[in-house]
Amino acid sequence: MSNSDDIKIIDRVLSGDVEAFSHLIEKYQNMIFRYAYSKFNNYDEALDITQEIFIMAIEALSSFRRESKFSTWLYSIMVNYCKNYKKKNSRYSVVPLNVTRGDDEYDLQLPDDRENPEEQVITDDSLRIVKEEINNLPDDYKDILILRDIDGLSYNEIVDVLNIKISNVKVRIHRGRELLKNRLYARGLI
Amino acid sequence: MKDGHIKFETMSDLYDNSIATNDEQEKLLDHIDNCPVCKKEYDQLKNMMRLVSGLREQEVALPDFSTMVIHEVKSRKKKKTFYRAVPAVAASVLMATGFGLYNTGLFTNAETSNYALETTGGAVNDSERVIEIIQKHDARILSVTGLYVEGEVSIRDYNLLRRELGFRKVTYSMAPKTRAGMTGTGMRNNFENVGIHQGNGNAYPADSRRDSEEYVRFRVYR
Repeated sequence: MSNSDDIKIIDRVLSGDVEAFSHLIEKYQNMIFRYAYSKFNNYDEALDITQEIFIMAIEALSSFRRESKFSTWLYSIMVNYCKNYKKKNSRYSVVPLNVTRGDDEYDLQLPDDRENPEEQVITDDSLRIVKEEINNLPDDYKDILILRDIDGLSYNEIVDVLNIKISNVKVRIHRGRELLKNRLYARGLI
Repeated sequence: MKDGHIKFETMSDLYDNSIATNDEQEKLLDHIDNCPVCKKEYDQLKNMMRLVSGLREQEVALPDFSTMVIHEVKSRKKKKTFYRAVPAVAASVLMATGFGLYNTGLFTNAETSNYALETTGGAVNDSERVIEIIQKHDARILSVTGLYVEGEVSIRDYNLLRRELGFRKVTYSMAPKTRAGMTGTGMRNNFENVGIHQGNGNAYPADSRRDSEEYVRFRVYR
C-alpha cells in the first residue's frame, strides 16, 4: 500500500468512514508497537501507547497537510508521544524484570494469563539478542537505527520525524551501527 | 581511509549506497576484496544489517488491534459529545428548576402577590362587578379610573347600593339638585369634605341636609 493509497484512506476517514482507518492501523501497527516496545520494554505499556498514538492520529487527521508522507507524519506523532510519555513517567521508579542479588541474577516470574506474550514478540534467539542490544543503545542511536534500519525511512524522512539536521542523522546512524556491531560481535552473533 | 583501512562511517555509507560517485564506490569495493581487515569489518556490518532487518519481518501479534482502536475512538467521541452538552443541559435544568420553584410561591412575598392581584386582574374583575351593582340600583356611572368608579344615585337608592357594595371602600358627597348642573371639578372638592364608609353597614349621608338633596355622588375604590 503506497502513500497515495494512504491518502485515499485518509479522505474516506475524513468524510466520516472511521472504520477505513483500520487499514492504516494494520499497516503501521507493527512499526509503532516495535518502537514503543523498544522504548519501554513492556508489552502492555507498548500496546497502550500504540493505541494512543493511533487515536491521536485519527483525532488530528484533519491537520495532516499532506506535505510529507502519511507514514512520516505518523512517525512524528509516535516519536513525540513516546518522548512525552517517558518524561511524564520518569518520576516513577521502574521495577526491572532482572533483579540482581549479589552475584546471582534471576528473572522475576510474573503471572500472565496471555499465552507467553514475550514469545510472541521474540521468535528467534538471535533476533532476541539483536533486539536486546538495540534496546541497550543510547536513545539517540536506538531511535535512529529503528527508523532507518528496521522501518526503512530515508535520511530526509528521519530529518522530518526527529527534527534534526541531516548531518546529525548520518553521524548518529554511523555511530549507532558501529556500537551495535561491536556489541553483537562481543556476544558472538556476528 | 585510516591506517590504510576504510573508516566505519565510509563502510556504512557504502552499505547505504550513499557514496558520492560510482568510481569511488568501485575503489572501496576493490579495497575490501583485497584487505582482510576491511573485508572482515564489512562482512560483520552486512551480517548485522541482515539480522536487524530480520526484525522488520517479525510480526507482532496484536489480535483485533484495529477493531479495538476504532471502538475506542468511537467511544471517546461519544463521551466528548456528551461532556460538551453537559453545561447546556445543566443550565437548562437549573433554569427549569428555578422557574418551577419560583412558581411554587416559596420565594415570593404574599402581600406583594395579593397586591399585584388586586391591582391587575383582580381589580379589573371587581370593577366589572361594581359597575353591575351600580347599574342594578339605577345609579349613573360618571367615570371609571384606575383607582375608583364614580357614580351618582338618588339618596333613596344609595343605602341599598352601599349595602350591596359591602366591604368596598366608598366615599360620597351630596350632589347638586339637578344632574345637568354637575361638574367634575366641583365634585372633587366636595369629596374631601364628607365622611368615608368602609366595610359593610347601613350608611347614611352624614349631612343633615340629605332630605333636601336628591342625589348622592359616590366613589367606589378598587
